[in-house]
Amino acid sequence: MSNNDHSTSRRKFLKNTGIGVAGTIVASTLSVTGSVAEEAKNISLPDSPHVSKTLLKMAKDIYPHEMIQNKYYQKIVDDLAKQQKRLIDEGVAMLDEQSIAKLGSPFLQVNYEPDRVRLLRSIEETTFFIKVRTALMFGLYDNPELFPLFGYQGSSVEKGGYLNRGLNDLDWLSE
Amino acid sequence: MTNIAKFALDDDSLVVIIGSGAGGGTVANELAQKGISSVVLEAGKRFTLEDLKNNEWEMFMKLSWLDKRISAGGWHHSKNHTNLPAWIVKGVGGSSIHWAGVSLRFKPHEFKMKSTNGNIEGANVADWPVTYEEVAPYYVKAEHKMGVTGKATDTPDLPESSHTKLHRIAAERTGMTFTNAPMAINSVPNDGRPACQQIGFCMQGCRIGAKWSTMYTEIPKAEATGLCEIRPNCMVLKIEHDKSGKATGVLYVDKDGNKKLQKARIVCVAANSIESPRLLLNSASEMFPDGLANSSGQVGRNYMGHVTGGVYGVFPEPVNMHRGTSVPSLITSEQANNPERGFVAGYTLEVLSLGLGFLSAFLKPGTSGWGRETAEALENYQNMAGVWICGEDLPVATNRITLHPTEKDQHGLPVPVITKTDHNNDVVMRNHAYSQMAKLYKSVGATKMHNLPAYPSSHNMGTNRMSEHPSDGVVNKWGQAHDVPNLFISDGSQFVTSAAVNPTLTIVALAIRQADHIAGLMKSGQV
Ligand SMILES: Cc1cc2nc3c(=O)[nH]c(=O)nc-3n(C[C@H](O)[C@H](O)[C@H](O)COP(=O)(O)OP(=O)(O)OC[C@H]3O[C@@H](n4cnc5c(N)ncnc54)[C@H](O)[C@@H]3O)c2cc1C
Ligand code: SF4
Repeated sequence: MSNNDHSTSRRKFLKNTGIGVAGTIVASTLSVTGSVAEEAKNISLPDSPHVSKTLLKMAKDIYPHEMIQNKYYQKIVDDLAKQQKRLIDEGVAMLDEQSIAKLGSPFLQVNYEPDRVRLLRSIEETTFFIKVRTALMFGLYDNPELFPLFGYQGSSVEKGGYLNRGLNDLDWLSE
Repeated sequence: MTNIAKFALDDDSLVVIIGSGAGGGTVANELAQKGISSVVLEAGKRFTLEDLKNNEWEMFMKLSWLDKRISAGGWHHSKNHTNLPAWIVKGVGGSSIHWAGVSLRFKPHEFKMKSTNGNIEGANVADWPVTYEEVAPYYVKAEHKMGVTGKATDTPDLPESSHTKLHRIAAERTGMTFTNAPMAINSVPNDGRPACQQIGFCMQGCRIGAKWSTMYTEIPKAEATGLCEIRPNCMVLKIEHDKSGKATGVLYVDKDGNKKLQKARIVCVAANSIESPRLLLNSASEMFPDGLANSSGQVGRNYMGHVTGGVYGVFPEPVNMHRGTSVPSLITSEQANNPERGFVAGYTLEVLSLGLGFLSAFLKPGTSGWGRETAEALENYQNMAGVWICGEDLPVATNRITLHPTEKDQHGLPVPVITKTDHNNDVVMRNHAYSQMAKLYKSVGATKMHNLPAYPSSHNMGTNRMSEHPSDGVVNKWGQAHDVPNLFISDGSQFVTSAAVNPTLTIVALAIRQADHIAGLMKSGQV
């Protein structure tokens, strides 16, 4: 199957998909995977530094991992912000508005983590939040570059599988 | 291949088979081996082994049936998997491309659940019009065709993995029954295919062809006879019939969008349990206003998945569940029908590894599945082990496939709505399984457990069920429509009940048996 077919069918599906996480999950692969592995090192310049910084903070509340460097989070959300500029710009504006109303300052300036998390919980069903979250889900957990941090070994066919490579090396349980 | 068949659209001597998966692919090859010609119309494209990659989401996007479907009813899919009620492949080989390969027979009592338990309120339980004894010889044929490991074919089990070892020891400590899974995966080279290398992406398609799939077994064998033409990228829209009520052919749309009518002597529907009833409903006519073969009103009803869910335990040290066959072993202690537990029918606990990508999506599906807790859980990936619950799902008349009143797919056909709500028996059974799993995993030092709700349905059954009397079901004991004598259902939609085991071995056994029957009917001129 050519890459082209692949992304056309993804696009078609995206168009037909309502909100709902599995649908969104599938739809989001369209915009996220592929690019991540190829060029994680070139952090793309965000269109707006505020949007970019806010998204990074949000990303690290959604899937907080000490072991993952900021550049990975940043790349994922910046790519999304570029692909879906309007939705993301409006989403960040909405987030700030609610943050100011409930917590007295824009999201970026809220230092207390539980406050930020509560705010994010209150918008977790919005299209904006779901888009950001699913982009992160693919960008972090379907990213071969990050697999080793989780102890996941990814593709194995090119190494001959595990038949002779640690298939049964569990040694911490006694019979 | 030299001798590939090519049949004319107006050739009315053919068996036309709709769908090339476990059921359709098997019927095609069985008929071809008996000298009977067929055309297989398959909505999906052809894949090669090179297309099968070791990546969960890439393969999901490549293989899955993603035409619009709508989940409705009380199951969590209505909220969390709105357009993905089921996980089915669109491609030559169907869902046998991504199946895991677990091959278990029904138990004798699982063909007669009504006699076993009597009436169950809120359920539409019936006995099968066929017994275990009648199917048994076909189980033997299916097991040999598919190369099922272990006793079935006298071949070795697949080798033990760490994931299996943990479950074996846990079962020993808790007195539960453990067994290596009988798998349609070569443990030794067989049938021109290699032995399994424990690559570990069985549900993304086996890159080396060690696992049985019609994609590279039944289909090429059927083609090699010169009697079977496979037409990929051909979506069937409607089954046509004549004034006497016999099927005459099928209307389909080919890859270029051209509509064509293929004439047929016999039509076999094997499009899996959502598309098969949808096709019959979409084939309504003046003579059959409620859909083809639907005088009983049972087409689309009694939709069953399995009572299911996942359990992932976290352990103090690495398990590396991703190494090796996706489903290596089973806990079978709860398979019996023992109403004293508070539910009828039984379930199997199937050891199942997921990769990081799938686990991140299914650990806590739904809009709240994010945050520190989820992230922390995933950081334990390497130390996790897991099972998939496979319990008998009761047939319920209102769990069904219907046509959406206004929404249409890309071909202009009404999209299917899949409505399902758990029967109380399902809920009690699932909770029982979760608590058994807690016992099992604590015995080997689990520090945490994650109970996952059902995945998009991988086992789909019951929507064109068999019955002795035409008023109770859609097809007879051979899968032949009560109302339309030259129309057959050749997939899991003919199941009456779902049993505590995976469906495919039974689908294949019934397909072999059906092909014998069709050959007999053709010879005697009855159809
Ligand atoms: C991840 C996963 C793991 C599984 N593991 C196991 C397992 O270990 N053991 C087990 O027993 N089962 C397993 N299953 C289930 C198994 O895959 C199915 O039971 C089996 O493949 C069903 O066979 P079928 O012939 O009914 O349908 P399928 O194999 O799904 O084939 C149906 C075919 O019909 C085609 N089609 C549909 N509509 C049309 C139309 N209108 N026109 C033309 N073509 C059409 C489809 O494209 C498809 O190719 C698993 C399923 C999944 C998702
Ligand atoms: S584990 Fe075996 S069957 Fe599964 S994909 Fe790998 S080689 Fe194929």
